Amino acid sequence: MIIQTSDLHKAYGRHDALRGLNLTVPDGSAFALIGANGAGKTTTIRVLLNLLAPSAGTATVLGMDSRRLSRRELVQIGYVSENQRMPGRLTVSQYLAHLRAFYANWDGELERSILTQLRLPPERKIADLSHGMRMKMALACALPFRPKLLVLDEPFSGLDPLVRDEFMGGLLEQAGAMTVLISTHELADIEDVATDVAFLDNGTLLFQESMSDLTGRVRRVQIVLSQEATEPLQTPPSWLEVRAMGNVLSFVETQFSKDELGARIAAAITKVRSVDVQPMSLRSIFTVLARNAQLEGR
Amino acid sequence: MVWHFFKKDVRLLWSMPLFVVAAAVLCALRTTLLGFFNQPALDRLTFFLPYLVYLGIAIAAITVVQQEPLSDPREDWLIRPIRRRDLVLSKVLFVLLMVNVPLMIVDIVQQLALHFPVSASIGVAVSRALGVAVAFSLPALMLGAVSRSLIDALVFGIVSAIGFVFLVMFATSLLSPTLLGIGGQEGMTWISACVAGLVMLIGSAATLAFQYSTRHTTVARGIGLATVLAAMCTLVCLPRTVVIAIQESLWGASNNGGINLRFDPSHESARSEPEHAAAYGNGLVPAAVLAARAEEAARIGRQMEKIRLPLSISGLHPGDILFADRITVRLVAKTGRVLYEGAGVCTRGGTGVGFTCSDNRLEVWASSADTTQIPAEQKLNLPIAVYQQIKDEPVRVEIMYTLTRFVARSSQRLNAAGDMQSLPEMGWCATRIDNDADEIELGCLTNVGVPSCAGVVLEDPQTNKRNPELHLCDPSYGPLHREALEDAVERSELSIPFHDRFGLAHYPVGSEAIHRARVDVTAYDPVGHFRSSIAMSDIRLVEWQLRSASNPSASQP
Repeated sequence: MIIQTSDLHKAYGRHDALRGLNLTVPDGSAFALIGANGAGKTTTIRVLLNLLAPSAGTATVLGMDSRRLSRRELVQIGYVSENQRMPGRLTVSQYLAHLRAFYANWDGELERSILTQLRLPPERKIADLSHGMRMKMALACALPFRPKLLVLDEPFSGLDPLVRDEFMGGLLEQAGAMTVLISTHELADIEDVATDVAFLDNGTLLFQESMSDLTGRVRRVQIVLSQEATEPLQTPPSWLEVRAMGNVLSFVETQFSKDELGARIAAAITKVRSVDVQPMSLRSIFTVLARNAQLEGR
Repeated sequence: MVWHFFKKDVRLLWSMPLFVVAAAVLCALRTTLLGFFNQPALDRLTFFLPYLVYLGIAIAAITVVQQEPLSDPREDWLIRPIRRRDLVLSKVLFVLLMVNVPLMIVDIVQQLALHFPVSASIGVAVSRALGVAVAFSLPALMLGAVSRSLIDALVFGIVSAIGFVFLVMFATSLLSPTLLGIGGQEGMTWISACVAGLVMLIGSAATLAFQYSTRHTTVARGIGLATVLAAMCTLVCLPRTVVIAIQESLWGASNNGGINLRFDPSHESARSEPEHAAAYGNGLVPAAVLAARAEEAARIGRQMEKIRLPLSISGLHPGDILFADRITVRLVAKTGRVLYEGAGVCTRGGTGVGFTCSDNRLEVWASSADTTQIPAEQKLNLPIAVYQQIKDEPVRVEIMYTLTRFVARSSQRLNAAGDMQSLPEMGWCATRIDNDADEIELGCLTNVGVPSCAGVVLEDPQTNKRNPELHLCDPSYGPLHREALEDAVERSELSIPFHDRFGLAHYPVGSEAIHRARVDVTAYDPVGHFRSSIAMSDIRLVEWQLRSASNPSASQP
């Protein structure tokens, strides 16, 4: 595991931003950290990168305690954040030249290629760049040394679709074998990229699994009955958002299994005319799970 | 990487050191334009320039640190493989090379332009640069490291200053004033300044090291604030006994050189201490200020009583000066109980906040040829309550002195009515007759400071007549006579009267001889510190009370 946290806590005064977080990011994965605003995504990343000290628990990054990250680890970590502050008085090329000195494996050719691809103006001061340009600048500063771990904190926030595409294009082209940890709301942008996903809610990890497992186990089910549909008094715990409308009963099955679904339906519902099972987008899955977490008062 | 960061900062911030140096050049020009004699109009117009230099130093230091702020987790540099030790060193290097060294060069050029010796010019400039680095640059770097922005830093600085003022107000209002500021050690203040500088140096370095290694801004702010307060308190409250002990240990053991003090009631009308001449640079004082001073003196007189004891001093050589750095008086009852012990009296201010301390003083100039038994008068300040309680009972009076002996080092002469010369001990000095034609104005520009003590006399070489000598003692026993933070070149002035328009005083060297008269300036050096004490039994204080304007009913023995 390239990242591992154990019972990680972070409190800001009386507010607990992280509450016993246990997270593992597999080596080589494209790991999506998703969650609502205030779920603790940015705090998690800041603790992982030693930008903040944890209140309790431990985090290891590249095998090293996050509190002791040294230059040896930092040369292998790229970081892009929506809040990142770079020296505004330097131009794009001046700052890249400044950073070049810190990385022995800085690839100048790659730097030029990224600048071209992201269409960054080398002579413009960083302070004069738009938000989207600054995000691309942050990416351009994070890739030329070919980091082993690339951490992206809300990289798509506030970007228009065109810039998003450019950003993702630049990212995907250079991703190679690096591990990418990405926290975002923009689930559609990572759906095709992420290999693993973790859902953070209110400082705790609701679940963490591979993308294929998640999309495989969550299905929207619609059942057409031969009579007026009513919500069953008892449903399996894996069924969420059970709704009846006309003669249609719908729900989200979070533990989908082709073999078991029929038996579960038969146990809970009678007079079934037809059953339709549809895969769900990551965005829909996230919405359902987040809403359910809120209902459960987590 | 130190050099890498340094170059980047220079590229971004070159204009700030340029501003500081420009202000320093204007300061130097100001001193040159003002010349030997005060020009109030120009002085008022340009008084802010030295402050501008120090403000510029602070802003440059804070800004260079905040190119890579420590307290904001959003900063990009925090996730770069940067050795923080290199980073902090680059910031220190920037301030030293871009601010302090150029200021030092300005100082050297200024002194050389005024024809001061090269070695002294370099020495003064280096010591001043060190002082500025320790007292301003390093604390400003520290301030930059514990704050998020320049505004944040300025607010923190202002809050610290206000905090210190409140601390002093609290201390002076609630605590015994004898804990603070009493028993001035005169020429030894350089020790307090050096210790305070050392505290600031160590505290600032510790704060920087802590903040750069841990980024615990709140804790670092606490350390920084404690450092500033500790340095300020050291400057003000370092116990005088400690200061004196340090001074004595630095000078080594000195014997009293055969000097003895004894109580001598035989000379009833002991001569008064020489009155201090108008101090260096003492200008016109508005009537309102004089009235306020008189009111202050009357207020102090209501809280303090003075007694005067006749002394005889033997062992001084002609021309020597005996100066008391501290005089502690102890009053002991017949039973052996100590009734009072102190080195002076501190009186509360009119508002009840703050206090004024009147130290016991003694300054004896052996100006006559006969120095076998020099009569002197020891005035002692006592709290009025103590005096009233014991004034009629016989007590034993013990006086413990910490003394310094000065000897004449050299004597130099200038023509009184208009001259300019380089005097080895005083720097470049000039004389002129003032506009009222009743005083000679002596103005000096010095880079190493005026001597601790100086005697100035107007003499007529034709008749060998001399006016009464003006004595000035403002001792400093440090390696330099001046505080390092002042301008590299300092102006001092003195007015020497030779004519009384009201005809009350007649001067041996008067208006008719003034055009051939000379000003004789004698510089004195401290040659040793020693302690002495005298004890007097069965003294009734009331018999030795000093009659004063504030106490006209005082009885006489």
